[in-house]
Amino acid sequence: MDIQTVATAITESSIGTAIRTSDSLFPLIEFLHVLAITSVVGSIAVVDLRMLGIAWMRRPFSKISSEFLPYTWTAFAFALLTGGLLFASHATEYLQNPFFLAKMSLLALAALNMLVFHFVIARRAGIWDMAPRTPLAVKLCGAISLGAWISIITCGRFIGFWLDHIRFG
Amino acid sequence: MIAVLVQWLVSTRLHDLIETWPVIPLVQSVHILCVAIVLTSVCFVDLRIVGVFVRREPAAAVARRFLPWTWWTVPILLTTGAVLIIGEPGRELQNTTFWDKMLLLACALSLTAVIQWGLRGADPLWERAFWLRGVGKLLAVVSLLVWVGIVFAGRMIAYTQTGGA
Repeated sequence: MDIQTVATAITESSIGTAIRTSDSLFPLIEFLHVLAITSVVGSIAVVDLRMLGIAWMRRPFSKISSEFLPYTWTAFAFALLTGGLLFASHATEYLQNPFFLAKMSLLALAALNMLVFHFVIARRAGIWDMAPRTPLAVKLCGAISLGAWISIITCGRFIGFWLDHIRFG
Repeated sequence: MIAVLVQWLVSTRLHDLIETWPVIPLVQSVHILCVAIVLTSVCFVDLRIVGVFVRREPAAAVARRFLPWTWWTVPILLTTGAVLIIGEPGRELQNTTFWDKMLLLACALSLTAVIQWGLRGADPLWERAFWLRGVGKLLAVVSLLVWVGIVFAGRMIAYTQTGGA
């Protein structure tokens, strides 16, 4: 079973069909997706900016990450759920959309970056938790995360434009 | 009158420039990023006032931490919004959803200013008495709802457009 067969099955599933054929479901889920993803980016940006050493340097990093990451994860769960529903409505088309593929790759990059940070770099967080500056590796992780999320928002916006653009120029 | 304004905007050179692919989706992306900053910074303050976020820290301190981000981002939000209006004036100005969004935005910004005003000084207004605490919480809840409404209206503009340009 190849990926196109799976995508076709998803598109033709009852959930995919219901969202595609309804006048209001797609816009409504889209609104929830925008709400979720802006919450993800807004809250993770606080942590990223702290990692970059740009803002809130007087607060320990551990405090900031424990304050904000629960919000990021909750919002991310909603973004994943609503994104999955949007995908199901046009799965075959999305798989041919370069911006959708770019968005998914960037999401993988953000995830990988987070794993590296969590399991390799943050293990020594005790040393720089309250330091007036953050180490280069921490700054780099913060920059990759912030860059990835800004690009994810941009790709997300371009996904919707892509079809119109290739159809109507 | 709005139709005349729309016609004039469409005739400008700036309109042609903005209409060039991919200016509109790029500006929209910046606009959404600004929404993310404003939404999160206001929401964390509202959530603190309601009592579900960093309860050990005074609400006034949370406001001092986050509201500058709101006020510095609002001008960028308005500028990118204006660029999008010049690019597609009919889509926005001849659309009731757009005007609903503007009304909600005016409410949201006023609410934020009032909430912030009540948190200034050594003895913040929203912490002075039980009933004032209640007023503060009510304003925070309304503020949260209005911001959600703004995102909703913003997304719906694309689905309710009637104007051609």
